[in-house]
Amino acid sequence: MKNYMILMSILLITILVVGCAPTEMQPAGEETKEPIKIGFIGPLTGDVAPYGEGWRDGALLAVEEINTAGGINGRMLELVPEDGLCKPKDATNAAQKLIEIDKVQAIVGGFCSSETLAVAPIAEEAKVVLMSPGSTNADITESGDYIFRACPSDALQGEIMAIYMYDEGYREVAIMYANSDYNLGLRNVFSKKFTELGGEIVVEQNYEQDAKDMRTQITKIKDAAPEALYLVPYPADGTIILVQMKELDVDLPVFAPESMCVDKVLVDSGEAAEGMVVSTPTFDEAAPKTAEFLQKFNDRFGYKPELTSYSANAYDVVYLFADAMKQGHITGTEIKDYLYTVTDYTGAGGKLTIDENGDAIKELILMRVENGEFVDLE
Amino acid sequence: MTKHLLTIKDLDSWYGQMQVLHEVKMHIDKGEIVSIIGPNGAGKSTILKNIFGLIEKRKGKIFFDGKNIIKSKPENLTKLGITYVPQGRSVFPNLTVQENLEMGGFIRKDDLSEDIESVYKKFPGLKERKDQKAGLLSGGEQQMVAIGRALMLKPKLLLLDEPSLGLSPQMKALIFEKLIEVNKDGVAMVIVEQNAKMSLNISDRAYVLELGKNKMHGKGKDMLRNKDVAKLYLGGG
Amino acid sequence: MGIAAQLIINGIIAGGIYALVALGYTMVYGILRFINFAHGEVFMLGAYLGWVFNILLGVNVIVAGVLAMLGCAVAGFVIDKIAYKPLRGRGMLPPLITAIGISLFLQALAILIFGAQIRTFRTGEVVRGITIPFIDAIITKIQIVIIIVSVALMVALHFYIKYTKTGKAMRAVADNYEVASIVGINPNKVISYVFIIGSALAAAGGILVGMEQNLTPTMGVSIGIKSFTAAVVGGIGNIYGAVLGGFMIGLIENIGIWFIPSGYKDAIAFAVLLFFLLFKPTGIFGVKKGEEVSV
Repeated sequence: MKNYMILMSILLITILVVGCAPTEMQPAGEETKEPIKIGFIGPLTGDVAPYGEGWRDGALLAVEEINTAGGINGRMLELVPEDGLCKPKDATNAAQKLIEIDKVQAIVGGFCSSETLAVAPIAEEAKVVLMSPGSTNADITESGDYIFRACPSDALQGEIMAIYMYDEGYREVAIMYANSDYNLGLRNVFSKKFTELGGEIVVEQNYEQDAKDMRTQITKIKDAAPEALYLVPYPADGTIILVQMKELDVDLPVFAPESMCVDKVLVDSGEAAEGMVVSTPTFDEAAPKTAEFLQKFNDRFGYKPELTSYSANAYDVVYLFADAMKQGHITGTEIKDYLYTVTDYTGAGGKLTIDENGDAIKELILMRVENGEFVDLE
Repeated sequence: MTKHLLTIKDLDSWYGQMQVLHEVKMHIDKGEIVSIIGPNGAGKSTILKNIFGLIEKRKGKIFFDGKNIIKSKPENLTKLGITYVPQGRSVFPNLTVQENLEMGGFIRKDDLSEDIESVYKKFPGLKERKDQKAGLLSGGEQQMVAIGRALMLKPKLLLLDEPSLGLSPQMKALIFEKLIEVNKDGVAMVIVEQNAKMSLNISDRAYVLELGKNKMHGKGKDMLRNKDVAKLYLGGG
Repeated sequence: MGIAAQLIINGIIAGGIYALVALGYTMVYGILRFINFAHGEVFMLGAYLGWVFNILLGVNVIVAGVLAMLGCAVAGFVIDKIAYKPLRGRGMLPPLITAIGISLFLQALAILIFGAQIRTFRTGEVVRGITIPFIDAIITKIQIVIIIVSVALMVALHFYIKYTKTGKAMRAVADNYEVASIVGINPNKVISYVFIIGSALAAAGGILVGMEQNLTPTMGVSIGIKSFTAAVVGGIGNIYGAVLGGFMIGLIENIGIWFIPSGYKDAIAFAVLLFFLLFKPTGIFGVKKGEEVSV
């Protein structure tokens, strides 16, 4: 028993000493062989995972290329991916782990707006840069100096669709959306603009993010007899809704944001998607840097990522971080300052300029589903 | 030594760390009715549980029909011809009377209807209730179901733990009447009873158990007349 | 009138699935007084097995369904044998923790083998459903299949429990475990049968839902909670209660969100559970064990 106590005491003291030892901060510019870690937060499991994976792989591709080309002044770059599950709580945990344990100075993330909004205050307080390749919620604009994104705010997408629908003659519409920040944000912007123009939202329905049975909500919408539907889902539930609408004989014109601009949605919903109109940031797959990115991505991972533009954006975000670091800006604050200077950066995701709020300025277009494919609208 | 149906020799038995039976011995012959009486906590029920293989920690010899059954499990003992009516209401309350009897014959592969009929013949009140849930019957009727169920395997030896417990005086008398009838079919019985008087009345022999040890042993009628036995164990009536 | 009828139809479809899965919970609890938290994952496993046979291996969908049910029956049997049986008699906590562990393990396994992405099991074109005459509600072919299959399975179970020897033995063991062994019934064998049947039923539910909606590794979680709620509401341990509870939850959910915001759909099941736990914890057909009838 006595020996046991001694052993336990030694173990305890050892743990205390190691745990409390001050971690060394690498002073800027010092030559060491330790890798520089950057964080990644996105849904790697759950319903949105298929897209999160493509996005992580985009970032990973950039990291690998940079390292092959010599890294950051001799130091290798390391991507630390954490699962945000497209949910605020998990994204928060992921961020805390990345900041406190991995000591990252920059994070590629979140994917879902709910992730980004949850993580923003933490990153801001810790002076760690958070740059999202795909979160579009309008509230992100004001969420902090250290918060950036490579995609345009929903403030734009929601408005464009409201204007388009009004111009097409619709006055009484329905909105259906998932209960999450991305969807709520779009719903707010759309609703405000549409009513401002003189239209009316006759019925609104929402549902839990992971729900599979939206039949009753669809029935309620059918009952209110709107002229059209503005649908704000994630791809998986969006697919289910299109299918269930068709099954329930609800024949409404459907308008949706870029979350529905996904090939898999068309494949899975078949004819039910015919005629749907979506808004999306311009993404020209034929542009040189973009085509190159797609080729390299396919060579490395063997597939084409859905929601391709975000994957390309993730790739660009990593390169932007790397560019900052190569010029000696290694701390969060320094990277932040660098990012505000980015103008007309041509990346895999197209041309990118970062405005004074940390938002990206990109062009938006509308597309319609014809014969199972997305086709540009005039 | 003549071949008895059941022989118990030098049986020690424990519940956890506590030893409850010390070198108990007894025997029972074919077709006999034997009672085990004694004060509360003497270990009477424990003997039955030992016979039926429900106790883990024990030492000694138990022979049935020439076989040493000290290591046997209950399902095997039913196959050898011992059935057990435990203390309290032991019917399946949500099964009908008929289904209870069918469960009695669970391990049999043949048709049970003849034997079920003979149970109904023996316990007439049950037939009209045969599709009622057993839990709804009166205490006495439930006990008859339990006994009838135990007869479904045509046992050679029937173990009964306090068969008249909680029953009205008339019911008690009825139960013991029925036990005599069953015995006439050649079924040997070991009856553990608090109500020693009624039990001794129908017994061929009886053992008195006290503090887990054999105290006395004799013919049923003799025990009834014995003054010491009367004073110590028959007071409860 | 049309709307109400549509909501009721929606409720019956959902309820049929809840009932199928609830049966597994209730049967296991009835005998073992144990909540099999991994049961929802058997439902998920059934869906994936069905997908494997039908989509990957090209087997006819009905055969695929039967094979998936058999596969899950085996899985349920194995899980009981290696994870729950060794812990029998050790109190309530160890098996509960093990069940949660198995649940997480199966989810992780599904993600590992099948990936996190959503799979679909669509067996045909997406078409408009059929309008039911007189009541003006729309139902699709698959949904009709769901109702027919779930009801058929429940009726089959009823006959099994009521009239077969093993079915009666299950009721006997649920009634009184100790006495059942005295009568010569092998409780462990009966328990295995319970797991086999319960798992096959859950698998059927999984396949039907997989075909009607889609497949994800976490699809068992929400169904598991709601079906368990249904079992409790109906009176846990009672199979008719499980069926009633399943349809009740399905109907209340779908009719309920007519009146309250649809986002609260999942909360409805919990509200019902809370109500019952507060006012009638034994459920509708609540069975109180050990009620003695005195002379």
